[in-house]
Amino acid sequence: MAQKYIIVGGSAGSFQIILELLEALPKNYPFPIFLVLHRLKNVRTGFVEALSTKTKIKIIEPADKELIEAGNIYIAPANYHTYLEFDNTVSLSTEETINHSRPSIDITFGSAAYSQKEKVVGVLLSGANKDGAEGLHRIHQMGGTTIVQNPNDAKISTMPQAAIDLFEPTKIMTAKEIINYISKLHFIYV
Amino acid sequence: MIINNIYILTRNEYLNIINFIQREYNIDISKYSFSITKRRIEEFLRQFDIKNSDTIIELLKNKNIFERLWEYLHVPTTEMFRDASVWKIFQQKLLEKFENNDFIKIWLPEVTTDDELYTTLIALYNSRLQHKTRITVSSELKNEKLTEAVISEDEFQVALRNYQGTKSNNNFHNHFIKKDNQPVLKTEYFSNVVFRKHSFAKDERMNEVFDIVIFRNRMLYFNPQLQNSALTTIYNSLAVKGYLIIGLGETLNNWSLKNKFNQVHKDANIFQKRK
Repeated sequence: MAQKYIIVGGSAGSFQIILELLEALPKNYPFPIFLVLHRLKNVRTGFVEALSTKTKIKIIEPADKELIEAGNIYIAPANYHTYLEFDNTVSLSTEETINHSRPSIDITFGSAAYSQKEKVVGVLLSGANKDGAEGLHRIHQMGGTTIVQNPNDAKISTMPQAAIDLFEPTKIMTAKEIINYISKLHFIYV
Repeated sequence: MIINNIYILTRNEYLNIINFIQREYNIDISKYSFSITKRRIEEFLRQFDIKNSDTIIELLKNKNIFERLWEYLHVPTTEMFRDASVWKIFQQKLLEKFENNDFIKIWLPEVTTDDELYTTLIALYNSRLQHKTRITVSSELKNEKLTEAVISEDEFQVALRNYQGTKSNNNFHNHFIKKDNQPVLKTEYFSNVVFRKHSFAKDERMNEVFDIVIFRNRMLYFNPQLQNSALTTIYNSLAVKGYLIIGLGETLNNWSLKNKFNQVHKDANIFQKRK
């Protein structure tokens, strides 16, 4: 099976979409999914637990240099940036905030584009700043698939609109279409 | 390749740069975490007009430019009292165990910014153990300037919010004086601090034994091999039953000697060296 890395970036107005996506995913979903969500830095506990109630797939907040494996869902830890490396591990960092964000969606998108190239499916959802646009552009330039939530469908359109202003993504979809697309992706890439 | 005005290094260009730095400056950058180091080199180069990788090598022949890059590669640790829950345990549970000791030795390896040092000093004052503690602060860089303890108002406000999470009895403001209207950590806090140059990448030994090593969010910037050897160096410099504190996003799981430690506080990533 063709290996894919699905990376979803979301900020204000995207949490409900994430919950619905988790509910829609089949139990034996074959690709790793990486969620990079802007979240409160001091709220460490309860977040993974809250998401875990929505899916039977294991949700992991990876430690530095942890191996990313197919069939798991990963969530970028609070107050760290997360890079995806060539050897399928993650590297965490305490570097400066980017677009006032740590985790920065740009960093995860950009590093995944570089190390995993056309395997990456980058998804950018609702949000109130411009994080993610440049990183998604890199995924596009390295041959990956880019999906942006339709700004008219997003609770807050700034983040998806910033990406559309920068380049033409592979697909512009509503949240419902995005959930449908990701949860059935394994039927396309067999 | 240039994307959005940033020169993105290919793997070969990156290798050429680190080989050049190794030859010219005897510093082995391949031991540092790949993606982070690569991105920081790219970010650093944004201030220059880069057409191709030859211009990068030409730039790095300038020692001043290289030294600025080398400093930039040492990532800051964000804020004082980052992870308040950890410092709460450090102050209320861990330091308590040393109350009857005559002397406490603490090592903060690889310190390049002030946050963790100032946090440790304040925690020691809160626990009234400062007078019998010696803190060794080491880095690959010159780090004596860390005693210039001026803190910006923004940093102070972030630190204050974090500090409130430690539930300390002492008022945070008591640890500072005002100088030119900016908060400055009291000078006497540094009286038991020793600065040392030390490099894990060069596999240097410490030849000292410490009771506590605070090594939070520093090995993130090492590759797995250097992480292993750094932890082994720390192990060899830690007293039996001494404590090692690592960052919440870090793990000892990939380390060959992890079984020589017990995790004493799971939520704080505090480990104790076994007998």
